[in-house]
Amino acid sequence: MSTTYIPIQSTTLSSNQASVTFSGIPQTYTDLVLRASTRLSGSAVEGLLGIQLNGAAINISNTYFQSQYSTGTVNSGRDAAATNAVIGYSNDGGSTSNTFTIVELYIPNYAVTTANKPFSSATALENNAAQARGFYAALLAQSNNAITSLTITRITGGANFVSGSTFHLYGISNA
Amino acid sequence: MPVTYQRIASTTLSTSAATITFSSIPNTYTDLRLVLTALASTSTIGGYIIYNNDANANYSWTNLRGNGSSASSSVIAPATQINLAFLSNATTSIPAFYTADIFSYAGSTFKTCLTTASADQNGSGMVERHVGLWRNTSAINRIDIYTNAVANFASGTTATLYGILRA
Repeated sequence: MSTTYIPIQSTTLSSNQASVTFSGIPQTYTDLVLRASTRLSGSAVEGLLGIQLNGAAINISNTYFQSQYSTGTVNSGRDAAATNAVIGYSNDGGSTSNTFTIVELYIPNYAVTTANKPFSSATALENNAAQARGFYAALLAQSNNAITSLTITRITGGANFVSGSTFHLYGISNA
Repeated sequence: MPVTYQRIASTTLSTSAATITFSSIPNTYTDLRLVLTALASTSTIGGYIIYNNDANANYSWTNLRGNGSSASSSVIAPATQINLAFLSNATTSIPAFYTADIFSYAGSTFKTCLTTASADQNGSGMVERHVGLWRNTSAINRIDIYTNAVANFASGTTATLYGILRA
């Protein structure tokens, strides 16, 4: 029986960086998993994270629900299709020192060329202060093209991911 | 270090089907993970799972759900199945993505699972998280994934069951 859940690429930032791209993703797996630990370099408490697929060539829409400590509420919303789509929130430089956000993306059937691709994101931001957020999204990549590259971006907040942020891409095979 | 996260079984439907079954599940792993990418044969579809052919009211579940405009929570207890989503949104052309993590499936206590549903449809759709319970101490050796009878799983639907082994 074969082993799966194989590391494809991994990046730990040694200096601040605006985005992280995994390109040349092999088409030999069934699903992709991205796990990241992120913090931004701005002055706000949190910033929006985004994803671009295939060099921002694919429109991506989302539906999400989130829990916010600051408001004490759980709510749901939706973002229209965009090439830099929201996947959640990250600690920004104004949040408690040394706090990083957990990010997980799961993209099933990423190499299939016969259907659009639904996928999920979850981000967890805990700050030991008056802002925390859990964010869970359903996303839809509106293209039948195989996914060959993936970029994690910041949409709002500091200009960069800080040194020490980590990004790990795994391949899962059902063969 | 033991090998973990192994495929136990996988299926890609070549014709539509109302049920996907994983049987003779070995009891040699610690946890199970089900990954389902579903298309519907004719219209919006719903899905749920049962274990070991038990269709009696031995289940319960609680969910958090967002539909793009509001968030809600539901509890169904007792239930005759565990829903993968309260209202699934797979269609004929846009797949929906579901997972189920079934913890300590071979143990002698009741069985808890966490399921996720990710079904955005560009202007509609939903996202859900469920916790489910099967009040049975038997090891799980079979999982049936059913539709809600409105439609079948369509050709192209994929389902894979993985085994996760502790150290």
